[in-house]
Amino acid sequence: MTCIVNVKGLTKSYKNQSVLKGLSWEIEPGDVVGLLGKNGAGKSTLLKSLLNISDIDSGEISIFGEQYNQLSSKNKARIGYVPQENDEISWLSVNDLINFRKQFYSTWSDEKVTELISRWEIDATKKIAELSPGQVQRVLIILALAPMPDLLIFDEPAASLDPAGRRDFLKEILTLVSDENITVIFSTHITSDLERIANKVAILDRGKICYFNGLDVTKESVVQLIVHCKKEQDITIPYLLRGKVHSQGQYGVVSQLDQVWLAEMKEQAVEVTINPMGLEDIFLELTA
Amino acid sequence: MKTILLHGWLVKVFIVLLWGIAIAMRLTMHDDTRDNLLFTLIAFSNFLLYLMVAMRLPLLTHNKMAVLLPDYSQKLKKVLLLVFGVSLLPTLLVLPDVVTWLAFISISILAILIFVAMIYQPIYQIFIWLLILMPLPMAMLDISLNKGILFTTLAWLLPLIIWFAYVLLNKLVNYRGNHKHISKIIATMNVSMGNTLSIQDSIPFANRTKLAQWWGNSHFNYYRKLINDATNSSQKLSNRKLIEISCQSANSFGVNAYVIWSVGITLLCVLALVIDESYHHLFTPMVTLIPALIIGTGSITLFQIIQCKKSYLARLAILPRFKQHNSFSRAFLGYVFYNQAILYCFIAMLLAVTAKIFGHINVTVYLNSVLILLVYCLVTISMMLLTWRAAQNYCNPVVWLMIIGFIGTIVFTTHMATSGMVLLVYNGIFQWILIASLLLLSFSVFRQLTDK
Repeated sequence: MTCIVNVKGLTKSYKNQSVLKGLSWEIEPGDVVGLLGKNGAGKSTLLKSLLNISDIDSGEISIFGEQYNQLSSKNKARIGYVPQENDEISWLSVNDLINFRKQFYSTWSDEKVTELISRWEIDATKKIAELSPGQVQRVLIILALAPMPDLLIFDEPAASLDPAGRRDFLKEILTLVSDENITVIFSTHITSDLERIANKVAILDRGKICYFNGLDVTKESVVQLIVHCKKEQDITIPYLLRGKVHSQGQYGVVSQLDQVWLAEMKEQAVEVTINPMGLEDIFLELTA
Repeated sequence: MKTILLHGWLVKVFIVLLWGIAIAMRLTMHDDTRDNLLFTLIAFSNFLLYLMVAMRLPLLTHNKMAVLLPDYSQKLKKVLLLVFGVSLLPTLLVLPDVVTWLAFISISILAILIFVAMIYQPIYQIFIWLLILMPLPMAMLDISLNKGILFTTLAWLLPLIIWFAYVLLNKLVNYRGNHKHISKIIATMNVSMGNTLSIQDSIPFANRTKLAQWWGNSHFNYYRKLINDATNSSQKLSNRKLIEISCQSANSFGVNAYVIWSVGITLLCVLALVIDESYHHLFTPMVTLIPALIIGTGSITLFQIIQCKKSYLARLAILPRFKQHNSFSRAFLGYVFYNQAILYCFIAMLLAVTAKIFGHINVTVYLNSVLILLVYCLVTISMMLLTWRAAQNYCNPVVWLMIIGFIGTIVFTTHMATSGMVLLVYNGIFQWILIASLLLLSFSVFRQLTDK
């Protein structure tokens, strides 16, 4: 299947501090990817780099099969983006801002704008500067959804929203994904949001995507293992994502449980404790 | 895009009004002065328009979404060409003199290039100072400027200027550089008139230019030293000093500003002393502009800063240090009066020195100028205090009032200097104005001391 987003060897640094170190990543059509990462891991930098908002040091990025910095107007119109920080012109009213954006798109949906504005109770005559951060976030989401994009990129979209607003936003994304088969990439800290809508999870750590897999597979397969063995015993845990050795044995997080290896352990009388993990635990373990 | 570039009704109305006056003059005036007046009027209104558009342009070129919106650069280019095209319509009034008309277009394009360059790269602000000082080297090298030859040359150069401007336009609509400086322009352009200077404090320190970082650091170092000295000694900082420290901003008109302006003026004076006296009149625009610039920034900055620090000062006012009745109000008044007194004394001294060396004003004009500045000072302090006490936010209209009052003051001072007016202190109208401004100030001080 042709990838919608294809990243190879992406590096980016700020003042000699490396943020992205040879990152590679592929997103397929219809994927709803939740991007997790600690503060300062480089989530925003990665998303901005994909869209050519932030310059990169090296690497290759393609979106819809075109080089990221030479996107055709047709493909630019297929992308919706909600930035983390609002940098819209603050003295424009919501109506002005909508009219400004509308002139760039032939696929702009006035119905969607009207529906969301009324559903989210936004006073479109108010200036951006007069809105609360949550309301501004909603306006930015409306601006991203109105051109009916094929690829939506959200940078912490729900950060400023109240629980009701967040639920509504997630519902909107779910509807879009199921009805229009669009691709969504969103960065977040809130794992429960991710679990609600994402079908894939990516974890960004130390400048690379250290984990990228289906959400269901992740929740079913990633487990924590404690292997009760002596230090001298040389045991290799298969599919190990992260692990350490301590006095009572070995401890690790695996991407899937190898039943053959488990049987071998049983034969050798090595006790193995298996603990299922939630998404938050997986994230914490992998980025520890 | 047009809405963003031409936002604000006040300037637009003013420009259209000037165009209207130009049309009326073209239709009604028939004497020799008409062409020059028309040229000046249209040039002034168009330059104002170009400056306004140039200042708003970073909001569009450096918008983060610019790279993502389809055909953004093309649309921006079209809008800029459209605005320029419309601005050329009033220039048709100078026809049938085709050479002047073509020269006018060349001058307009060159002015746009300078304005845009100044906005995007502050180093190009040097163009303005070079233009002001241009008559000096020309006079010294005995180059006489023939208007006819100049206009003919500019008219013939028009195709070249258009080609050059078009190349630069194509670069400009895709330009994303000089982030640090542009973020300051965007911050200023993104707020209303009442917050243009104070908003720049919200720009993170690391995102400022090296010069701005040095400027801020050297300014704050003085106050850090004050705090540390007070901490290390038994003598406490006075209430006024505490408020002064709380009211500092990266844009405050502080010690370093006084030092830099003093050095600049001294250099200008030294230059004047070494050249022939016959050239001194060529410095007049500059030595008039500098005090005006200092008063403008010094008074408006203080107003904006105390307005934006209102909530912070309110928290300060409830501290035990200010538990005595009116102690906070007194200290606050002390700070405002002290700050403005130093500013206006500096201006009076600067005027005296430049008047002595350049001889552009006599003693009467000097004394009159000081009196006019005194009235302006009393009125602006009153406005600061009244706005500070007001329940509603009147920041915007007050800054506009201060600017309009300031321009009025300069126009009146210039008129007075050229018309040989007698000492104003003996003028009945001026005496009433002075009394009225003193009463206004007394009222605002009284309100400051009595209101809760």
